[in-house]
Amino acid sequence: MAEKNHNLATKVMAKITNAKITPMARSHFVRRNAVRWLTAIIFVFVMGHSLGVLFYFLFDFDYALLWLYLESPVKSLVFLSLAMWFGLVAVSFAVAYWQYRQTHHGYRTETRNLAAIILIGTITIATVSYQSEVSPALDRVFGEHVPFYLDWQKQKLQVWSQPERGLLSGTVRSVEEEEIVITDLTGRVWQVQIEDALIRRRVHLTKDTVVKVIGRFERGNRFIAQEIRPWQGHGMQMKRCLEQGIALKDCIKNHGGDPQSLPP
Amino acid sequence: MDCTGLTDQDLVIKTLNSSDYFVCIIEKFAPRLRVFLRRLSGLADTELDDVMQDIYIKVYRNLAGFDPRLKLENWVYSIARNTLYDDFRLNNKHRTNLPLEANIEEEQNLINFLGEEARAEKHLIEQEDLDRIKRIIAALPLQMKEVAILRFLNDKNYEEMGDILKKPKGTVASLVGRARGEIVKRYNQEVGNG
Repeated sequence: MAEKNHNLATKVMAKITNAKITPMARSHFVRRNAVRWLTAIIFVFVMGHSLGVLFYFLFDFDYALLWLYLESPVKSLVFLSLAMWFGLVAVSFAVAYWQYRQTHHGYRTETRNLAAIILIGTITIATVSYQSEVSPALDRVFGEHVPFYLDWQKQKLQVWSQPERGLLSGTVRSVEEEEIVITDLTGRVWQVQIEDALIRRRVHLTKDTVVKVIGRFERGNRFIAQEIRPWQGHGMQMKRCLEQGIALKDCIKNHGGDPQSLPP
Repeated sequence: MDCTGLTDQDLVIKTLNSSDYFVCIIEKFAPRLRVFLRRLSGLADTELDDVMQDIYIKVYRNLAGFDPRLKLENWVYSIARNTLYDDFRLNNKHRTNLPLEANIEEEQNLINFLGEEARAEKHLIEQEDLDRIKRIIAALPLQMKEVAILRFLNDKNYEEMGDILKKPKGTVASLVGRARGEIVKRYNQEVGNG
């Protein structure tokens, strides 16, 4: 046995000398470890912000109008968007978990502890992201760059352009104690009675703000509001168009949509 | 090369300064490593020698990445098992279930670790049953066999095993429990079947 091991040592040393093998530099290992840590941290942040957007979906979605969204032929877009963010959360979790495990002592952390640490970190980041409006901003950025988001914006626009069904949206032109005047998405001017309306969080009833109104169509251009919500999330491009005074049909056209798809 | 009195950390530092000291590392761990790899793989001496050369070359190349908080032996074992698995996978090799060789101390470890559970399951593990148990361990699936060898023969604790297998202690404990249960189950089946 001793001879075998001695021979082994001789062979290994000969290989090292002949092939001029040298140990890798310590900096290589330090750098590799740092990259793994950094990747893990970055993906926890990605996961946190993705979860923040899901919070935004969860807490700010028009649940009462879900059936209206689901009536539409593009209802799958709602689920597609949700699936995309859920997918991003799942992939980020896997990458963060794996990268941490590959760090020097990463394998020593118990699985449940590691999962708990990642989840707590993620939920904290998600909460901060949601509260500080980073999630809505992210949602908006995706809205500008991901094609199916734009379709959803059109869908939302259609849902909120049905005064006869109690749904109205538009830009605030003037604000008085019991009434606001808004211009809807087709340019029609509405007098909206807000006396008994519930005004939701994040609604700033000031001139040029875009809002959604749930209520009752009376006659002519009068509408009685029961609830006023902010125009946020999916549809921010439309909001921008409205604020800039760009006609709705041009706005949709500029963003690659079909103006014919607008409600009559 | 005089290696007497050198700690693991000394050996690493000296080797990084002069490759000649690597002989000390090879000779210090080769005997136990050879036994471990033979038990795990059942490879013949020639093949085992080739694998061990690859292992030590990897150890040498990665030496600067050794963390002094670990035992050098466990770190070498960790590289060894990864290299062995790679070798199995890349060369499409299949292990053979050679009967395990064990010295008296290792046999005693086996009895200590398995005896209590076996007694609870109504059987006593006697000295004469050791051959049967060694045969059972040799026939276990590779990952279970690895755990059984490290724990029941090499007497590694959970933390050391975690450093070798790159798994947390809790997972190691559960793997050991599963291996122990499987050995006892197979043992009881054999004894029960006469």
